[in-house]
Amino acid sequence: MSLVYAVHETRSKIREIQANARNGLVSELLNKSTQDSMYLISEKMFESMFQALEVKNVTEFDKKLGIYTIYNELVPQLVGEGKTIDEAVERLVDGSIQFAQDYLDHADVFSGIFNGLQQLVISLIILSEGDRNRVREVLRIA
Amino acid sequence: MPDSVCQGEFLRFLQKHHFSAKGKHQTLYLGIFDGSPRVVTFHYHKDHDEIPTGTLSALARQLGLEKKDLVTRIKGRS
Repeated sequence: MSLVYAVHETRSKIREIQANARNGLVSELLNKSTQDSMYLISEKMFESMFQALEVKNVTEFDKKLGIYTIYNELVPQLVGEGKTIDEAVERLVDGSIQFAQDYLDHADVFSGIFNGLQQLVISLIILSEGDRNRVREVLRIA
Repeated sequence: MPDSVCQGEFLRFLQKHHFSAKGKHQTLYLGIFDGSPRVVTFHYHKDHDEIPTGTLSALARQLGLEKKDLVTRIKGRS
């Protein structure tokens, strides 16, 4: 038994591939002409990978302007400002949702700019589908 | 304050490096900086509004720079 599948056979073998994931096995979907691979993993593995990811936010206060800025260390394009920390956090969530929408519209352009970990965080924000609580979970905002 | 940066200054810095706004919200700027493709999140409101220091740190990181290096580059000191 092999866990490597040619992309053209994924349709006919989708049940087997899904069973692999349920059994905690990673399937590789290989395009033999381009040598590109995709991997199908279970939700359990995906969640574990995300939990292992260090997602930190940096808070800075500008004394002169009286403005807090919070930005994500891994994806610094996710940023919020406010007169209080709470306001800056809300703007960070707003900005992250907005960023995710623009990213999705131009994923072909942006995907080459961000590394794999950044893409994972951005994808999770996209998968949050505008749910602010889920975005807060992704960004590890208490 | 010599190391403060206004929104207009930063916008002109992006334009000088041929960044252009992308996306529906027009707050993502895409360009090549120091040989690498970069995306910068920047909300422009008023030319003379000062950019908070924390936001400047975030902008610097988006361009792969330290904040002081970004300010130096914007002010044309190097």
